Amino acid sequence: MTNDQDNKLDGLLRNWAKQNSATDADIQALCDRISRAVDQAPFLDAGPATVRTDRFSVLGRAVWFSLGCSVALLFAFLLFPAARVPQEQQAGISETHQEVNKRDPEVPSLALLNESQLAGKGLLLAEMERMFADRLTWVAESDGQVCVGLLPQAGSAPSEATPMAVRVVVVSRKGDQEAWTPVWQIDVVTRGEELVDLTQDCIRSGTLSLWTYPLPDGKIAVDANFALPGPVSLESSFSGVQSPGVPKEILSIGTDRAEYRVFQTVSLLREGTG
Amino acid sequence: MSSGGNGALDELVRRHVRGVRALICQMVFDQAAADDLTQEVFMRAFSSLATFSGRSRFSTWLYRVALNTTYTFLTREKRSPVDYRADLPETIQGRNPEPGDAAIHAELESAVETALGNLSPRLRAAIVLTSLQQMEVKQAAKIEGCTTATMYWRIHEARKQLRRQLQEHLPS
Repeated sequence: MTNDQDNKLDGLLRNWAKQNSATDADIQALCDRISRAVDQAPFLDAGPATVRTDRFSVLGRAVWFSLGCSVALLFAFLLFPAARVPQEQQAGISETHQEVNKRDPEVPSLALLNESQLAGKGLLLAEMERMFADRLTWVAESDGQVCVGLLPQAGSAPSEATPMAVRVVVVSRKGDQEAWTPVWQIDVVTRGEELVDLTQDCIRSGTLSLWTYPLPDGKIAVDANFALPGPVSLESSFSGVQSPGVPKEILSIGTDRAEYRVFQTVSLLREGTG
Repeated sequence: MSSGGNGALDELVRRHVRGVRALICQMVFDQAAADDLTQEVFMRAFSSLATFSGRSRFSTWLYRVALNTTYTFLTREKRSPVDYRADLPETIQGRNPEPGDAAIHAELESAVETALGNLSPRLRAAIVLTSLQQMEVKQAAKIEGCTTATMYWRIHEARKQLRRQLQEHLPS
């Protein structure tokens, strides 16, 4: 069997499938039909009885759309091989915890979550909490994947604690480059005091554990352990206080071929609407 | 609960309905049944969200529900999917605008459906998932709950049988 034969067969099958595909109108009609059926389904009555307005629904669509776009952009970044961590050799590693680097003021901004993104995260959390009732503990987005942390049984996830968004970004530049490029990113939405434990299923062969607690003075206590293995192993353990929305550099590593920096931003979300 | 109030569920439907319906239609060759089964799949999925572990992608889980629903349907109906060809609406069968080519296209479509219909459901699903839905073999294996090696074998076997049946329609 050759690839040429496979391609010819695939062409025949795909042409047949195209001829028999549903039109946009067919799909829309089916969507409407399913939505009506969902509205009338008794299983939804078991969920939280929160009243949603049409505006909320439209915003929800916008959130998912923007989520899709951000995932696509993240993929685009990840597909750039030039600055990928695994291509580097492990050598001459040094590690420091620093405040935001004044020398490259534009770099920490890569870890910022703007107002629009925060609104989206807030809605995402609200929608997912509603979908999974009292089982949801966190939602993480990375490497084009969305992962959720679910409790085995409903009822014990803290729904009253402050919702938060945490972004961890790895930026890199090669020795002969001035600009820093994001090479990996993860966004987590959760609630204060919730223990987030991301394992290899969600984070590229690495781990991230996270715990946040909002303090009375408006700052946030953060306990985070982060590990992203590869030819250059990125590991960090951070326990401290962060100002909301201000990126903090939690790791800086240099090899003989490239530099890597890891930034972490914790932001407060407004309940239900971001 | 009012219409349009289930933002997240509506969005999940909107994102996946085309793919799920296409998968089912390519398995059963019946537009009306595909609509019914697609609705059934989403209702089953939403009513059993509590069983979704979150360890796999939602789409993987949803497609698994879709295939299981389709297998149940095919077993329940106990007839080959090619029996449904006569049920296809005119708008589907007559999309080719060239009258001179209509007979050729109809014959080709019929041949492809017959060839796919002659495959066992598992082999048909393997070729539909990978060739028509263009999924990675690994993802198709996850959906089917089999090993990647098994999925490779199913694809190989399905292609072999399809090539044999469609030999005269394949360009040389």
